[in-house]
Amino acid sequence: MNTLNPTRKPVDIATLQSPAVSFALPDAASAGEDALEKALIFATAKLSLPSTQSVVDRLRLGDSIAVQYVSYGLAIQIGQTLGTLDETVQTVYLFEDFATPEDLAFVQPTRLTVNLIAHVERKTKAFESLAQALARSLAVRYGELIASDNPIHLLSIHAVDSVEISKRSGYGALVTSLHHQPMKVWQRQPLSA
Amino acid sequence: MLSVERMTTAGPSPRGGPAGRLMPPQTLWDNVLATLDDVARRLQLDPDVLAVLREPERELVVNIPVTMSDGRVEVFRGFRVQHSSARGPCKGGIRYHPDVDLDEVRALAALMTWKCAVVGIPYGGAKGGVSCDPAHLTEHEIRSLTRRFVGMIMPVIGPNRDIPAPDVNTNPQVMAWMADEAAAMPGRSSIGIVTGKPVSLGGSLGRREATGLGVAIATRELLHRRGQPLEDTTVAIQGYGNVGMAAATFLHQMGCPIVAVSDISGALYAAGGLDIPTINRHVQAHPRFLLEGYDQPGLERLSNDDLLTCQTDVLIPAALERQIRADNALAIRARVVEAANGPTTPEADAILNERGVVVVPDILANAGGVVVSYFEWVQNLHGLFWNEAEVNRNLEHIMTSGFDRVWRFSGENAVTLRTGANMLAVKRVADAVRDRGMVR
Repeated sequence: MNTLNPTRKPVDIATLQSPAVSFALPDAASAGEDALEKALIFATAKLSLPSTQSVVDRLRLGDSIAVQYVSYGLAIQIGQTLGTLDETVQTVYLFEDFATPEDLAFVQPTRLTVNLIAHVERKTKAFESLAQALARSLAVRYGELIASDNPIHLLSIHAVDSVEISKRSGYGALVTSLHHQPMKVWQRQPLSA
Repeated sequence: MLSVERMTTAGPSPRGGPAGRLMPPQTLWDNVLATLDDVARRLQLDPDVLAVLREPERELVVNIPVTMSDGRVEVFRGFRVQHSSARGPCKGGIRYHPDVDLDEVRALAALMTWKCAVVGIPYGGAKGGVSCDPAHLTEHEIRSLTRRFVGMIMPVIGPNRDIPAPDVNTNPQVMAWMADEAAAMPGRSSIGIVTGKPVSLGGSLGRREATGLGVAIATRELLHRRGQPLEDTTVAIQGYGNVGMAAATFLHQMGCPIVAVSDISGALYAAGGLDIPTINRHVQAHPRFLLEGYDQPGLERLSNDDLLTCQTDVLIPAALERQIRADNALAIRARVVEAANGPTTPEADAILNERGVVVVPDILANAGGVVVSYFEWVQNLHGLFWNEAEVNRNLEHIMTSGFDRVWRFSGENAVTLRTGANMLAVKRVADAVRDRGMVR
């Protein structure tokens, strides 16, 4: 059920531009939309607001606390989606893009943005496509929600493998970072013996 | 109070003394000690002084009960580590993060000792943290946690003992709660108990731009010593957040052509120089404060990796850590001024050093933030507030003299600026330890 978008119409197959992606990733579009809905519900509860619409209103005004709760809620939901739809995903982290931690403290975020690192067993085209599809669907839905005509890109997902983490190369360096600690938002449960 | 204070002792450390036997190797603290040992060897440091510096002065662990919004009581673990107060009251941030632990806080506290010493501000080093996931807490819960935490560490903090500041997931609002909680305690009314406060509560003007201005000053000083005019020096900046943007703005005002900037959306390059004021307006108006969509005549678009190796005289990494690595260090031709924390890997540092590429280390280049924190404390203690021009003028004085000391010390000892900065910092703390009579 999608309470945020009651007017959403069934997909018209004739309008699909890329059937290969659609068949390969049947749930990415709705997953992005559902993630946004759940993130708004999460933020509504944390902010003790009467409805998700109140959170949307705060996002439009650039309320940094609302932005941070929705960002975190989205990260959890997207992490879960990545893990569910791609079995190579082991752990998902949320990170902030900044030079020094103390300087982040003086610039509170007023625009929604989610930067994720996905620790994968191996990098695949399928994961890349999934990440892009989620980013696209989120951007479209969020643009509708806040009624923005500007292009929106709110989700970045960087895949890293175990070698990059152990060698601390690229975004893999952040996983064990002293200064840029990312926040773990999803982890695959180990199989029980 | 549910707190356990662990004082360090003169005997062998329970953490494992020489080999760190009770902990796995290569913890953050092990890395800090390895650097300290190397510097001590270069300085031929008195073993007794080294023994003092290898252990934090004080480690306080507290268990913080917080009544959650649903009525449950949750207990969070908090830490405050004071590495050294030999040069003055301890200074360091407080972070809220689920992965905070004593080892990490201990390592960061020591790094603060060296950072304050290298620019010559009269502080020791400290760090604190609470193991929690702030995004899972309501604002009310964070406020309760903060107030209770301050109450529990109050015996070891204060304007003349240890002054906390914002760090990961804490901000001026959290500092304001801390100052307010402290003010409610008898005899503890000074707002100088924390820095990084909102200006309305005694925070300093100029704090937001301080790190970027410090980076610009360090760059200017480097060029001055190389006899290179600013207007003939091209600069590339990786990262256009608070620090990168401020550094670009100040260097542009000083006359440097900024030829390349980048953020998460990619890099922009213009051999004739970028229009920084217009770029800043573009970023401020962008939905996500990004460079994407900006255009000007002669503009080329590069990847973030290409920016690091582009044709420029000075490269300022102001983004994430470990961006200059062994695999790209050979292609870097520019002098490097480290605005971010740890942007150069040790392997890349060795390659750059071998090729004669000068690197101004992060401990010096990005110290502007802690310097203006010091100014906030000074203004709070004096009850006299400076305008922004005065803050910037004093920052310039401290950064310039700090750079000068590191430059001369490195030259006299024939070492890199990074090694020289570390040596100078440790030497200053060691001198204070000796002068205080802590060792014979």
